[in-house]
Order: sequence, then structure tokens, then C-alpha cells
Amino acid sequence: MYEKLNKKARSLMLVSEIILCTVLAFVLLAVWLLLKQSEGVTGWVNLLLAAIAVCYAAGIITPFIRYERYRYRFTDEEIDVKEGVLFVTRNVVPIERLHKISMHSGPLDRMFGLSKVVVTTAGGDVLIRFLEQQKAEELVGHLKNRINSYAVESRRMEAEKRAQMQQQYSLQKEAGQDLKQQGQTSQE
Amino acid sequence: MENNGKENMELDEIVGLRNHFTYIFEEMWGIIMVAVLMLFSSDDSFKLAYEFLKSGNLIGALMALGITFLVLGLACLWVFLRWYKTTITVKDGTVTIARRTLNQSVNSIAVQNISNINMEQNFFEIIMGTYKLKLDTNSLSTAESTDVKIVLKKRDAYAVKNLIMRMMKEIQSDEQGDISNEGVNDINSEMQLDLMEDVKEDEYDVIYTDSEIIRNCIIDTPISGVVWVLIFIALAVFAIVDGIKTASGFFSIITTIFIPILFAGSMLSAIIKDWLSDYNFRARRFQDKIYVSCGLLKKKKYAVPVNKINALKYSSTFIGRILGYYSVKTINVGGEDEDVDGMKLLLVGKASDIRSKMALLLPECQIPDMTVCKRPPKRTLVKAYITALIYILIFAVSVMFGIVIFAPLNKDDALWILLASIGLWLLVVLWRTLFYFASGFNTDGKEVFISRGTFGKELVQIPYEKIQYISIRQGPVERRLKLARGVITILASVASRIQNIAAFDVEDYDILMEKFEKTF
Repeated sequence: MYEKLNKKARSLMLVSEIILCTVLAFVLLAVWLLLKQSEGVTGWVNLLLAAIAVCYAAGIITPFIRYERYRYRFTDEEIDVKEGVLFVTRNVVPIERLHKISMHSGPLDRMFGLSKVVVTTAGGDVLIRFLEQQKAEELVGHLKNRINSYAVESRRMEAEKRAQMQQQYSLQKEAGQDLKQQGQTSQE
Repeated sequence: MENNGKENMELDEIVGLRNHFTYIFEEMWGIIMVAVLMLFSSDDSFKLAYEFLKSGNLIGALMALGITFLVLGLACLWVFLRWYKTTITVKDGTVTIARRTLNQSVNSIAVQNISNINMEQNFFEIIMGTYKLKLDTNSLSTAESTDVKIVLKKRDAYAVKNLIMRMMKEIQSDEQGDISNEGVNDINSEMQLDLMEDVKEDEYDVIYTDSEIIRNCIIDTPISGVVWVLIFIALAVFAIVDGIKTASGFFSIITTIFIPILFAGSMLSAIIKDWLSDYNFRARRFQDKIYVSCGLLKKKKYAVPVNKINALKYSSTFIGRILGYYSVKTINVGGEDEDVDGMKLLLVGKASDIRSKMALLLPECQIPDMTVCKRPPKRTLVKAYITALIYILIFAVSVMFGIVIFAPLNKDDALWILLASIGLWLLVVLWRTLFYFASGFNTDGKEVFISRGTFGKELVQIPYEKIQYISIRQGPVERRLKLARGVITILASVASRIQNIAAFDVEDYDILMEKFEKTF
């Protein structure tokens, strides 16, 4: 069963979006002011102000959509995370492929008591955002134990596999020598 | 600690070995070129030096050319010190490259982390009788480059390679512990024999004849490369003819044709380099490694550990696709600088030929048909056309907006933007249609097959156990059409790490996920 994020996550998304929109608005405003003072610029430049309004509107709406679409599932075998606004991505990471696990929390995360967990495989990282601090810690602890037990198990299995391969090779070699000897005897 | 290293060559360790002295010259090519350019670009210093020489003032002439000589001298000293102060030690299961120059560094690599040891020679090294030893580690952070390169005399190179390989095998045996002591000791003596010597000519399982190599050159050359070379040559010829007609000066013509000739030359040299690199191609399977040797001017010898192969790639060019020929590459971490996209395992051949050769090199692998993948649903094409239209409309509107900010948009400009957008969209439609016919995806319980391309085609075969994780993506248009795109991530260099799957039915991805989940 997929789980939904805590409502604090939505607030964090909203605050981050508003900060981002404000930075973008300042940039667009600076461009608008520069263009407005230049000669030969038409009234269309005012559309930049409309762009600022659109940015803010999107910044306020998207956290709600993102929050509703964000789902995650941690089982003993896999991590499954669905997220996105327009483009929705689902990442499925088998726990046995994990190499490393780390937890991060920025100032905004800490303000809302949330954390990010980064799971690293040999192919790259997958980020699990907006987890409650306690939940993130539990997940990291659980995954660490799983990774260690998988590592021990995979080393043992690899060693067994190698031993099997080498035994097989010895048998093949012996069979080849027998055939060679038979051939020599028959030639004689 | 810093001894010659040669005395210990037959022992179980190599201490303080230096790169061969020709390493200095290999490192200095760039510096020499820069110095020559500096010398020739500075007319004034030449003139001044000439004036001094005329007046018999040799010291003055040298002073005039002083900066160039100073730079060159310092660079030479730097390279020399770098060579002199760099030592290689193979001891106690660790390869240590110590560079005790101004910026001291000691790079230690545990032998068990080394995934590949390859030897190669460029033209200069063939003449000098040296080898470049390349060590690759399992590290993903350095997956796109070779981690360590050492230039050594042939004998030293083999000694280092054999010692490292012996250490690797010893560690493997230790890891096995008491699981299977029987057989391990027997086999070690056999391995020793293999490690101490290079693969003999008659021991290769796959040897290509000259005619097969020529066939490979013709079929494996991408047609787009040839077309671009011809376009640039045509441009150069056109510029020459035009220059003669308009009675332009010699230097004016040379300047005009410089760029097209440069592009044509670099593309042609890449094609020829590719041809030469396949010369004398041969491969051998021995135990858990595949040994490949090839190359004319630059001899390459590489070993691909079978358990490090994360995927196989079957590629056919446009001509190959028509004639039914394809080549095989492995996707694994590390490899040659130029082969980050995969190490070549087999040259082009028909399906039956590839199957028989792969049975010798990789019998544990089931070789699929090039047509194993099913084509994406037709809705994928509709989605591609719609998406392209949306992006091009956004682009056209942005361009128009950019214009109207500064001046009113006249009819001609609007018409041109519209025509350009339609032309661009038609090109994208053509490209996406070709892409659709080459794209595909399929899966059985053990492996995933992905095909893609436009004129040429490539098929990638990935065992489920080598998949690191899977991502499934859906955009707004895809959601409407009940389609999704997939990304399979594997352990490989940057070029091959991400394996994209075209848009398919959501149900197909459910099957993929279900089968993937069953494997762990």
C-alpha cells in the first residue's frame, strides 16, 4: 500500500515554491525595468508582469498537486516512490542493489521537521523527499541493516558461484586431457 | 623505498617502479606544440632576434626569444620532475601511485577493487617497444575514464599486470575460504600459466580474416559520417571554384576552405581510426574473462570479466540493417577512453555467425534475434507528433514575443517564423517516424530487451539482476493516451548508464515491474 506524505510536507512545498517564485519575480522585474527604460521597446514588454503573476499562480497551485500525487512505499524488498506535477515519475529501487544511504535536512526541512533520504545504487541516486524526521531515521536504520545482510549474503553467493565455476573448469580440463590421451593411444 | 623495481620483478611485490622515460615525450607533445605556436606567432621577437644576430649579438637574440625558451624549459622541467617523482608500487594487495612533486599525491587502489587491466600501444609506443597499462576500478565516479595509466617497457608491463592479476586471484581464493578448497589449488596452477603469458595466436577462439575485417569496415561505417564528410568536401570544392571565378586571392580561398576541410578531415580521420582499430581483431574466452586483441597503429589488448558485463549491445548501421549484419559490444564499467560506450566483442556478422561466435565467447548468454522487440503502439507516434507540435509552437511564440518587444511584428517576419516552424516540425516528424520503426521493447523472465535508432539500430540486452533501478515517467499527453516511458539504470559509464525505453502501453510497464520485482 502506498503512503501519503504528512501535511507538513505540503506547507514546505508551498514555502519553497514561494521563495523560488519571489527570486524569479525579482529577475523578471529587473528585466522589465531595464527594457522599459530602453528606447524602441513596445508595450508588449508589460507581458513580463503577466509572466510574474503566472509564476506566482503556478507556485501556489503546484504544491497542492504535487502533494496529492506524491506516494511512497517501503517494503522489505524495494523502495517505490511516485512524484511529479505535470510529469509523474515512479522510481522502483530494489534494496539489495543499494550501496549507500544518507539523510539530509536543510534549514527549511528542519523548520518543518522533515528530511530527505538519498539512496545510492551502482547506477545512481534516488531521492526520497519530505519524510518526517523520525520516519526518515527509522528508514535509514532499517535499510542499513538490510544492506549489510545483503552484502554478506551476496559475497557468500558469489564465492559459491566462483567455486562451482572452478570445479566445472577442472572437470572440463580433466575430460579434455582424457580425450587427448585416448586420441594419442588410438594413433599409436 | 625508491629503487629501480627491476630487482623485485620476479618477487611477490614491485616497489618504486617508474614510468618508462618515453613517458616524458608522450606528455610533452602538447607543450612542444604550444611552444612552436608561441614562437611562430610572435613575429616581433623573431625580427628582434634576427636584428641582434645580424649585429652579432647572440645573447641579445637569445634574450629576444627568451620568454618562449623559458616557458618551454620550465614545462620540460615540470614534466621531467613529474616523471622522476612518480613511482608505482604493487605490494600487499594494493597498487600505490605516489607523486612526490610540489602537489604531493598518493593514490592507493586496493587490488580487489580493480575490475580491468588492459594493455595498449599507440604508434609511438610500438616504435619504442613500450606498453600503456590501464587499470580500471569498480568505482562509478570514475566509470567514464580509466583510473590509472602507466607507460612501461613490455617486460615490466607484463610483470606488473601478472602480479596484479595474481593478487586478484589470491584474494578471490581467500574469499572462498573453506567453501571449496578442493579444485581451487588445482586450478591456481593453471591460472598461473595463463597469467604469466600473453594469449598465444593459436589460442584465440575467434579470429577474423582480412576479408572479414574489410567487410566490417564497409558495413560498420555510419552512413551519416560519410555523408557529412562528402558535404564538407563539396563545400570546400564549391569555395575553391567560387574563389577562382571571382578571382579571389590564394590566402582568401585558403581561409574560406579551412573550416570545411578541418571538419571533413577530423570526421574522416575518426572513420579511418575506427577501421584501423579493428585490424587483426581476435577474441578468446578463458575461464571468467574474455580476452580481446586488435588494432594496427594503436594495438589494444583488453580483458572483459564476464561477471562485470552488465549488458550486451548489438548494433547495426543503416547498411548493416539492410544486409542483416550487426556487431556486438559489452556494456561494463571502465574500458578504453574511446570505448566508454562499450567494449567491442565481435565485428559485424550475420545472425548465425554471431550466434556461433558468441557460443564460444559467452556460452552462458542466450543471443536474441534483432527482431525480438515488439514495436511501440501507434499512439506513440501520435504522442510524438503532438509533443513536437507543442514544443515548436512554444518556440515560435517565444521568438515572436522576442521580436514584438522591440518592434511591431511585420507580416513577412511572421510568415518566415511560421514556415520555419512548419519545416522544423516536419523534420521532427520524419525523425520520430524513423525512430518509431527502430524502437522496441520486450522482456522475458530473465532479461529486458530494448531497441532504438533511426537509420541504424541497436538492441540492448540487460539481465534483470544487472538492473540497478527502474523509473517510469508519464507526461500529460501520455496520461491521456495511456502510455508511459521507462528508464532502466545500470552500472556503466555515462553514455550507457541510462537505457531509455520508448513510450509503451502502461500495461507493458506493469508487466516489466512485476517481472523485475520477482527477481529480488
